[in-house]
Amino acid sequence: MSLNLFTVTDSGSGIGSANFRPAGTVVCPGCNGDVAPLETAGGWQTCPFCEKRLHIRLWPAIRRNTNAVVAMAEQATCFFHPDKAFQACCQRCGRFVCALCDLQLGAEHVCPTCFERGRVNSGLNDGKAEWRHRDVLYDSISLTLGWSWIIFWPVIVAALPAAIILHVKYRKAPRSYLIPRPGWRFWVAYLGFIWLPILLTALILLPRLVGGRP
Amino acid sequence: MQSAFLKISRVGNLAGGIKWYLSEDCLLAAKRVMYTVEYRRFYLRDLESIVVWPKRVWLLRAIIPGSLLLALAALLWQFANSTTGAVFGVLGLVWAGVELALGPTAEARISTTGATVDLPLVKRMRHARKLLAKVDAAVRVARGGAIEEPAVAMPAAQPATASTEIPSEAAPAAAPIRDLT
Repeated sequence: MSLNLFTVTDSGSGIGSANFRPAGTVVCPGCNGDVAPLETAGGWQTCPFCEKRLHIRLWPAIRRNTNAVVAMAEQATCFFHPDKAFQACCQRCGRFVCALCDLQLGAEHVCPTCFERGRVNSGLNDGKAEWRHRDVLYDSISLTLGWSWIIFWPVIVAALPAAIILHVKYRKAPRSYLIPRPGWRFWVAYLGFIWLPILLTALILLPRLVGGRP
Repeated sequence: MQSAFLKISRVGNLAGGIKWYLSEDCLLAAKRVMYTVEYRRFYLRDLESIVVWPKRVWLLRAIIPGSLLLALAALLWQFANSTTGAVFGVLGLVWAGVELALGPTAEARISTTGATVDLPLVKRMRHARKLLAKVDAAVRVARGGAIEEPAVAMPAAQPATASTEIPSEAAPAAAPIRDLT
């Protein structure tokens, strides 16, 4: 398994590049041969070169027009490329961009600067979901703090305030993750802190109550 | 807690694993690393191919734990008592049997315009067809039916179809992703 989600196996498959392959084929992961998908009953096929079993799903490539047109006289131009013609307006900062700089995020057009700024500042705001590339799971940290003190009990001195601070500061975080989740982990963390005092109290008080002693 | 993403697959491991989600415009990989989740989007408009194949070492998942449990069972039978040995022996056989019954584990390669990434899309090969059908349906909706049938029966040496040139302005269809499943 790739350790880094952003690891790219290869890129570019244009004619003349080392990775060029005929249209309508995929590269066999076993032998790097070009394999055309076949219509089979179970969806499985074997690579004609290495006999590896494959399940292939292929879609025609949609090529975007990234050929920025050279601007004519008195025509609006790109903010980043003054010689290229205006293609779209960045919906974040309002800059004019050419076809090369026009980045489409869903229905939104943004310039490369806003895209990069959005990636860096992707916070817990729902409106920035398109930019989000990472979420920190504060509720899981709190849950670990709440229960892991059992391994080395003096840590509870720091773990309890840390769990409370995390809960107060990031109480809304789980619901604003890109994949939202409930905030019960914060409360289960407290359970980790109080189960031992409750148990000890019960063990002390229960015999007295059962025995009828004051 | 409404989410625009629909969970379609989970490939877990000891470190956390990857969950896969589908939305109206992208296939999302959410990889759990300790206390963070990293996201990677594969936009359906840019998706070119997905290839799934069986892992070569999947049998080791059955053989290694099964053998260890059987060896432990033999030791317990010999030096402790036969009941404990029998329990561990049955555990080993059940483990190996379940792994064999579930079938091969899978690897996957996802190609988009300009990038190819190896990420496990499904845990087991037997789930691949159903999952790829879901992704295929989502891609068709996202591209607004601008896809001809890409996979046609033909000799493997020839290309299946030519790439179609579609302008980026082609608007995606608005059918919700939940209707596909």
